[in-house]
Amino acid sequence: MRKRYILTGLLLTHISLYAQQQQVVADYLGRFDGQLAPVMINRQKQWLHLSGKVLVDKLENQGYFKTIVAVKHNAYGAVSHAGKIIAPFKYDEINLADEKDDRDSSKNYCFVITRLNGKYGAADTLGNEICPPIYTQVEPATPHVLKMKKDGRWGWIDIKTGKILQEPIYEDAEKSYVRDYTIEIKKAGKAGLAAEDGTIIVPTEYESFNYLSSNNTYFGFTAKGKAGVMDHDGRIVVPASYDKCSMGPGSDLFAVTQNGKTGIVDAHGKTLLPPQYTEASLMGIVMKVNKGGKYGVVNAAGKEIIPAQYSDIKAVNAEGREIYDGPVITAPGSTATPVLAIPLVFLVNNGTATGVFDADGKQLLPFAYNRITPFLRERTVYLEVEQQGRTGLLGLDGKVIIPPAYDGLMSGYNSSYSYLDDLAGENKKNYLAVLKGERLGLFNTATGKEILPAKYNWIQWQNNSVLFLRNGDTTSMADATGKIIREGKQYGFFTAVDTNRIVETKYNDDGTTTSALTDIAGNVLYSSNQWEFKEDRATRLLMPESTRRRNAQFSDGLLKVWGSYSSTRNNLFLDANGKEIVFDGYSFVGDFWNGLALAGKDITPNQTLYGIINRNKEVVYPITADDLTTLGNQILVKQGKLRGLITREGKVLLPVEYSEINDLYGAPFFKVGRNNKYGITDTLGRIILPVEFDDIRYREDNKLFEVTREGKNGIADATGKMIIPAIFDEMETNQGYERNLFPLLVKQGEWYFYLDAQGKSFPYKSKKKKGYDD
Amino acid sequence: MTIKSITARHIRYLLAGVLLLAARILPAQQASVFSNGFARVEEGEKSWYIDISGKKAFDRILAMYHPVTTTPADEIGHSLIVPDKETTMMLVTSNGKTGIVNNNGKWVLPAEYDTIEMKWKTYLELRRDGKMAYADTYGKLLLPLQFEDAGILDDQHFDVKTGGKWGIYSTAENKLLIPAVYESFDYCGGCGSKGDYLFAQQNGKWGIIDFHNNILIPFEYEHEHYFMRSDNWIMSLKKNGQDVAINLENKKEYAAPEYTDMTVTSNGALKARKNDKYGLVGEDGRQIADFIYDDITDAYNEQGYGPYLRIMQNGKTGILREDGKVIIPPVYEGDVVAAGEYFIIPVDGNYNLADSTGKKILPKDYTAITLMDKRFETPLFKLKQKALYGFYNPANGKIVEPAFFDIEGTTVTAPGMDLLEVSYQEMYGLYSTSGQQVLPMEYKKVEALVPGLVAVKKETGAGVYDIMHKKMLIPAIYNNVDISEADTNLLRATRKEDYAGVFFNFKGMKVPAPKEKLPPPAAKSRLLEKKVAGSEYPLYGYTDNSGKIIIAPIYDRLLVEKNGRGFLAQRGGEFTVLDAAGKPLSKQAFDDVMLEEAPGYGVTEVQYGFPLLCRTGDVLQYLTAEGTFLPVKITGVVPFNPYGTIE
Repeated sequence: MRKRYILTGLLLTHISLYAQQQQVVADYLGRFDGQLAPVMINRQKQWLHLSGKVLVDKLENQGYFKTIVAVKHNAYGAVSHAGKIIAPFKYDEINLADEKDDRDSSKNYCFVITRLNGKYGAADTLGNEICPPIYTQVEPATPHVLKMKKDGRWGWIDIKTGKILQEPIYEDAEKSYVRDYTIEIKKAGKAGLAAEDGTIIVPTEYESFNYLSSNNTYFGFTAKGKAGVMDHDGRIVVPASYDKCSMGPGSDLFAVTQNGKTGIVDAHGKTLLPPQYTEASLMGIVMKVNKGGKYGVVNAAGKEIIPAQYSDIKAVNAEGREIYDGPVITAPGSTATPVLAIPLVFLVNNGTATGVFDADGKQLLPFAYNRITPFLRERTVYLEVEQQGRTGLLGLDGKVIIPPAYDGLMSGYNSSYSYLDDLAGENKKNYLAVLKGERLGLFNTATGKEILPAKYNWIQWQNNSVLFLRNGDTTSMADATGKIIREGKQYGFFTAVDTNRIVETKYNDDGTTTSALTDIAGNVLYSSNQWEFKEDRATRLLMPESTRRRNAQFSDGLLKVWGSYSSTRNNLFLDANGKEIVFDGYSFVGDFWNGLALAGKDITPNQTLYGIINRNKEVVYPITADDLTTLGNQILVKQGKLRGLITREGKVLLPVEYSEINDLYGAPFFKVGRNNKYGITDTLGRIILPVEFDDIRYREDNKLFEVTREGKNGIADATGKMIIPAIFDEMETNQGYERNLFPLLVKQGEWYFYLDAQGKSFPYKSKKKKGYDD
Repeated sequence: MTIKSITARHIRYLLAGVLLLAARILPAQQASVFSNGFARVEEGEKSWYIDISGKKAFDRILAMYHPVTTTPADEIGHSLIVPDKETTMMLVTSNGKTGIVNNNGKWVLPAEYDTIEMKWKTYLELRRDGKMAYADTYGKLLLPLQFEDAGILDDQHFDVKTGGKWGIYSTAENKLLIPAVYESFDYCGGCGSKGDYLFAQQNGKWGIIDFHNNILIPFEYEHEHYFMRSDNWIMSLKKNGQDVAINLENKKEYAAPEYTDMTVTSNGALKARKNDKYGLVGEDGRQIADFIYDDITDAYNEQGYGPYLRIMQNGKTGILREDGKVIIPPVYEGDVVAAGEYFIIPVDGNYNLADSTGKKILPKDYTAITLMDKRFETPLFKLKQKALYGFYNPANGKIVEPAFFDIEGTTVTAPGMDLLEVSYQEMYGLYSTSGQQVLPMEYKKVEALVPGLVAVKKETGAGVYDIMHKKMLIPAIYNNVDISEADTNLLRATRKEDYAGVFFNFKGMKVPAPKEKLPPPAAKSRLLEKKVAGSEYPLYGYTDNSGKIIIAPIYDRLLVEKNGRGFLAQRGGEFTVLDAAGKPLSKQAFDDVMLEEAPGYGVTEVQYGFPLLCRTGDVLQYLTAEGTFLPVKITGVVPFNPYGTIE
């Protein structure tokens, strides 16, 4: 193979960019697509690794940790992500052995299995040979060891050090599923367990092992067809004398079955309950048992706390949910009992009647209910009970919260009725909507009183003191005690604009609207047929995102009076007493927020300019803008064709001198433009890239900007630092799915070459880029 | 099951689209358009269907379906259900009884059954007065309606219950083949081939009888419908709760403790364990393999199937033929894999091939050997040495040593040979399966043109290689070469600047460019459109396929019936129904004509059948194909099937 080497410095002008190095002149270079880029060198199609250090002829496979298996010199080799050849290109076959556990990185490993002349070896990703190819088989066993076979027998080797931890003497060696970092071994047809260092944990005397508990404390074993239990150290805790063993209630008891009957034994093999149950299933840390077709409960101490004499039993946890299965321990090595596996109460059926038992098996509620279901409220479990067809709510202690007098308790929404308590404030938790038929009422659980009878289909807290009620087309209002403060009125329109102020709107026959500000007692404080109050009509420009959905309200002691569209009084407010407050000198003043309001002045009959004023009519941002709109958390100022940026408090972030200011698809930047040049600022308007680029594209995945300046391409980081100077005629990023932009294929002058993320070039260049037909 | 709601969709008022007589006082007789030979009449609360003569036919439609036929079972016992979409059957009730009518308006099963139900999409289950029978979906009875209960064994045989006991009825012999003396039957209808025996129960115990009621296996067993077969191995009986395998040929019973782990192999032999070793017993009861193996397994990879089984003994493997002959004794470490009549054998961690005498046939071992996909008549084996592939053709013994990154099938063909595409570093060439290089491996692209000719591309350009004459037919200097669209007997070579290109015949001689061929316009019947001076809308008529005007262009709109039943012609606000020759069916013109499916805007074809529901003023009448009216008086239009049907 003939290669031409050229000193770049002699030919190229961009010497400063990369070190002088020997350059291979390729027939063509192609764009990177993931780990490799297609290149043609001396008319040989090859692939360049993204390290820039390795050329291969063919990609065979790639694994989780970006290790690749490839072909060169007609043989297999492997290359690490860093570009190190970890297995030289001489093998008959190479297989990747890797595992990537997204939740538990201690389960991860990666190495390659090599094959040469019919024998197998292994190498790690740092390039160390774990073992030479001398074995008839090599396979991964655990995250720490690989197993190898020699003369028909299996042993294992430390992946990290290559040390033989167990000479090949076993008929079989497999990762054990009953104990972490353990190998199930086989000798003379019998199974045992060994630690990764080769120490025998259980001698090869058993038929099989089976998984019992998720925290590795115990596992099952079989000997002579009978089942028993061992602890983590391989000590027998339940002898092999049962047909089946499984975890029992609690963490150290076992359910043992013999001749179809199940009993409970402890970790000393002591029988706590002799085999007597035809059915036994875990409900969290307790066990539901069946004897003679009747159910009872055995607790974590192995005591039958509810005798097996009921038709069904359900266990309910502190979240009000039924517990079906055994406890699931998710954190590795954790032995703490998950709280959701602990029964809070038991719902016990006795024939058609249901009662409640506590966690110790004491009866809390008599068998006096048709139905009992847990009801979770404010993270507290209550019991929704049904008695003679009527529903009520009880505490776990049996205390009546809501007497059984209703058809149901409201939970969630329904097409025919709604209870909205978002604005109910701190006392929200004391109120519960109750149902009779399809009508809603309201119950105060703190006082134990029904405050509103069930006759509404809409109950809504408008603030923490006023309730809006609707029944069909009739509306009314009540205070927080349920006292009706506005009697039902057909097509009535009431809106609470403060805790003690209500606006009543009336639609007159002549098509006009009369709105009136009233106090709770109904005294009219102000009334006008020029006032077109609408509850959702308010200026929200100065409000932060979180409060923009609120209705028209008093703010800073003022309620804006929105007139009819023909009205000229767009600067009118009311104070709490209904007194008119007029902002003279402004043709428009919007709703106040945080002491500030949008204000406008008519310059000509056809032009209004806007700015921001405070409560004292003082100008905070001059009345100079044609329009003010929100941009992210800031306000965009439009003045003619120019744009500027201010805060909601009126502080100038960017002066009004840009042709455009746009957000960057939710990224924390603004793209600003002037005279067809573009730059980038942060969301406070601080310049990150000056306004001097022809084009800027933000790569969200990489937090990098691809920029073009005077027709030349480069890359800047999120702080604005040019990590690849904008000096390249062409620039193509890595198009692999791993979201890495590098290496880049760039063109400068007549040469194409590659650049890594540090701006360093690879020793290959070409005058041709790989075309579609190549 | 889906409920198909047929409501307003089926009553579209054509064009005029006016809701009729909304204020008219009920009761009055209303009716639907005709659909599948019937129309629905409604009067007050009552409703019934009439046939095309106007007579009452039935009360209500319960369901509609297409009858089906089933294809004969293929070799693995699968058959397809083919619906006859041309025919629609309606399950209807009349005076409380059920029957079936077809879309020609004919009764296929009279309305005299208590219930009729579709079973397994292929049969109708008929019940009347506590008796039942089956019919095919066309309504043909498969057995007389005289049994208390019945099941289907196959199209010819039914297990039937009479007097509380079960027997077997033969449709062909039209009688009880086996008297009704049993408590129950079981049969494997779904097994690949149909069995010639039945499981039967007597006094609570199960045995096996043939179709002549001869007892093959005495009534001594328990039975459940698991592991059903139809061959000589009975695997679905138990004795005292224990698994048994019974050979029907020699009546021998295989059971624990002597025999355990019994399964039937894909070759139909019983694999069982005796004294901890596995052996095989043939379907004829003969011992095929002694109980001397540690295991006996399938010898093929996923897609393979054949007479060979893999045997394992002392950790070594070999091959056994289904007749019991040991082809390869168990001497190999690693799995021997059967591939046709050859065996891939592991040798010291590498691989070689053995033939059906067990003889090793390749002079050296390879890192991998695989059977190439079966596109060729003779099997080919891919040979691998490190990262390179070659191949071996056992038919002529030729080995092409590994020198390629890939060997694949190709769309290129040549007379008298099968071809393979070989490649190395993305350069491509061709080999024949007999092992000859056909095209050197020096092209970027190799594509099929016609048998024997292949389009090739290299750096200098595209050209054509003649495989049979082993030479370049057209030099590789063009931008592209392909088959001429104008004349498929010519090749067209184009250059970038010359898209029209130069033409070659298959001998490589330059020829003049072929003339574009245009098909002659076919004579076709069509709508005739006549422009009217001063109007933006034309008038329509119709010419037949000889070009003769059969309807003069005098209509504002003309709708053609798709099946040649005639035309609906509109002039002003009036419709005339024309016959296929373009002549009015009746002297009368109508204000509206009701169709099942209203034509959309700009549509010129519609579908309808007679009698056709036509409106004049407040009067609705059914116009027959003969131009007469049915003697039914109607005052309004109702849906054909307002209740929906179960499909």
